[in-house]
Amino acid sequence: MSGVELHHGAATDVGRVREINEDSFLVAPPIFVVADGMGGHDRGDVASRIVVEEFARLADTGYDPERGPEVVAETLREAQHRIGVYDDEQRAAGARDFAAGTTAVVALLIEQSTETKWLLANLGDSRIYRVHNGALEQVSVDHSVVQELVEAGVITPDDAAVHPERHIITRALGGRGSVEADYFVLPLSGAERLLLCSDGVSGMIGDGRIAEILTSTSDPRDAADRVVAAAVAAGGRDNATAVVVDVVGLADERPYDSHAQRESLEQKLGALP
Amino acid sequence: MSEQPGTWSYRPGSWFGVFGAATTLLLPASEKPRVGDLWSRIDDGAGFDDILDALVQSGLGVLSGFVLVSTGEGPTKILVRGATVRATVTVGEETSELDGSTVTTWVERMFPEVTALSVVVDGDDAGQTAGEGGGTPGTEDLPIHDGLVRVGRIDLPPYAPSSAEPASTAMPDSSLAGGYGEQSADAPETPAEEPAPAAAAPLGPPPTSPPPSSPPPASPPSAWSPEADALPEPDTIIPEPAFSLEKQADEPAQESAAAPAETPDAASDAEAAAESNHWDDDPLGAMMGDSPESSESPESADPMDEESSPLDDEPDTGSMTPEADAGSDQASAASPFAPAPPMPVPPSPPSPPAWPGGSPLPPPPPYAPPGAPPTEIGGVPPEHDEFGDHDEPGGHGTDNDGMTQAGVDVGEFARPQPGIPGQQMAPSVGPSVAKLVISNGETVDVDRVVLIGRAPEARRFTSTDQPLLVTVPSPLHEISSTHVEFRPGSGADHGSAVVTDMGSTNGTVLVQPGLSAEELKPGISVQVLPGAIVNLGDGVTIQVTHP
Repeated sequence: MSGVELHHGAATDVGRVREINEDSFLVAPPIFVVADGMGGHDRGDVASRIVVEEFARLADTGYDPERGPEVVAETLREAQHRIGVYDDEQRAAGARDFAAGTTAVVALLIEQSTETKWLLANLGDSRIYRVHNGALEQVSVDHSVVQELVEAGVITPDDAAVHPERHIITRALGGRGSVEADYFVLPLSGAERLLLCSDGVSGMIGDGRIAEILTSTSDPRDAADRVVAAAVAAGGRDNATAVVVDVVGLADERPYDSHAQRESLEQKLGALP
Repeated sequence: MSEQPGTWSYRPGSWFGVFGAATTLLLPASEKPRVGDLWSRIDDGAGFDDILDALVQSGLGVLSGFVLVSTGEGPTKILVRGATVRATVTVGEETSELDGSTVTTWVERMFPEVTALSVVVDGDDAGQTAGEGGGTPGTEDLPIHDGLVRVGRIDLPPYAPSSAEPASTAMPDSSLAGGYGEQSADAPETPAEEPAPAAAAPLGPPPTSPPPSSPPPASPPSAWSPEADALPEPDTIIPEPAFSLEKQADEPAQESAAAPAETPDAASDAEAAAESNHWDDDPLGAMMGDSPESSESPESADPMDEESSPLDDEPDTGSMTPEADAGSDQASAASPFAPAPPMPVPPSPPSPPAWPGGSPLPPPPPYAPPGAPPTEIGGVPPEHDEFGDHDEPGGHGTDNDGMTQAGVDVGEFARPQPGIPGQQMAPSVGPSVAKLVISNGETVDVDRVVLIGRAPEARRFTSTDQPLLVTVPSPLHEISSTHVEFRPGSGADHGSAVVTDMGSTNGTVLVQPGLSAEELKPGISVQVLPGAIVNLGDGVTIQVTHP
């Protein structure tokens, strides 16, 4: 796992409409998180920050890479618990029916049968995309009403983008809903680049535009900036956050051997017998 | 007799009871991992032979006991196995006992016309047979038509204890013979049931019921019939419109025929109604519980109504008031029991039935269902009105743009989950059903989902069912990244592994022992026998062996 080199970039923007940025993100290799807090007056920013804090702590203390899904599930449960405590505090302070909530998408490196892999987790309608063989693909499956409708065959994916209920999600941290995330495992070779983003990105610009930016921008920091800028330029009706992670390659665990290198070059040139 | 044909009564216990139109099955508590699947087969109308096949498929040795009853058309077949299992069958005046403890395999009997049938599976209740003496205090017999419950004993017709004589003999034979199936329920023997009220009247008050029930239910049948007839259909369908409607259409005749003699069961009906409410609380419970509830609707509706809108319809039927009171009293007296139905479902927000397929949708409620304070997650922020340029056709008056809402958290959008509601899912990692010997020397146990490929990916799993990813070399890239899946089979494939081509580019060839090679169709699972060889291409083969 230590041999994997990750390059990353992140950007967030409050957008043109909202006054508070309720999105939070974490870039703490090998853990990356985007959380989209919900609900304006119910302080979604606090909820999303709690998620990020919990994963930051996980990055600090380290985790068992063999137990990826359990580790993420435990962290999400801890975040859920803290959001519940925060809700209780607010209600005790007089805010009736206070309930903060947040989505979460998480990408982290794990190990499975001695191989390093991406573990992706999704709760809500923030998204994880990958770029593989030059093509963009959405990996996570939204926990949203429209996604359910699409899967039920009631509406098409195109309808989903303009459906009035498209921002209603069926799972989230906070509240009483399910906090069981969906998990995905990808081999490192299956994703040259990952994009974690809030629906302020995916809801404002289409997958085509995202693909265009991600495949044409080599530096992940630039890529994150441009994705968010494009979402804001497209209207910026929601907080837009993007985290872009590139797997630069599996670094050679053997120390660099200049002697061997030179010999091999000489051999190639036929300078040695 | 009073109940519609095919209605059993059961007494809660540790075993599982699966009730269906054609087949009724009892399994010991240890068979929990299989019972959900068997329920689904029985609910789909699987016959006696199908279920027996599925039961013994993994061998009799692992199955400590079971009871299988064919309740469809034709003679009634009963299979009994297990030390603590005893079935009592009454045919006319003659009573036979089937004792599972006396044999090493099972007891099988066939009866042309069964008057009454009682099966006791928990040893503690073994002293009682149908109609003898009252039940143990605190033990209630609940009616059930179909569904999956925990049982200790079951009775057909529903257990109606009587101090005088066995309930069974009071019944006309015709009420049971051929009266089990739903199909036959509609027509010919319904008239034959007419004598039932009179015959059933001597049954007397149920000894099982608590004191308030003592007012005798000996009201003349005629006093009941008007009430039953006057019962507006909508009343009966309140609990579950979608499901009850169709049921209701089948059974108008039953309703009047069934109502008269319901007295002895009023308590349990009320309880069933209360219990149905519990089921309703859970989306899955609603799904699994729909049939029992809807099929009980003629009976259960009364207590329900009285509970929800107290005493509303009592004035029409003066003579039934005492019973009605008794019924609701019993319901409340029984309520301590209600929270502990065979499969307790934790109270959760009530929710409509699961996703209604391809039908047009009503706009979903944006927040929590009633019964709890609305979740304010994703409430509409004040500033939102300024940007009302995206009005919602849905008419919720909320502009959702820029506003992610945690909507219906577990409501109508909850995907139906496998397993039994209210119970923990069986662990997805089970005993290994096969070992895979891959040509590169690796061996893998199929004790969970195993995905094999050049660079396999696992999608959309939960934190407890992580698939095992096995990478195989493919220098020529003939093998797809996620090429083939092995998993422990379920249902008919229980106990063996099944293989599925995951839409690989170059396909998968399966050679079963003794058979010619076949190409797997993408997405179609095939059971693999020990000795089978699966060829992925690029020189990679997988041999399936015993675990």
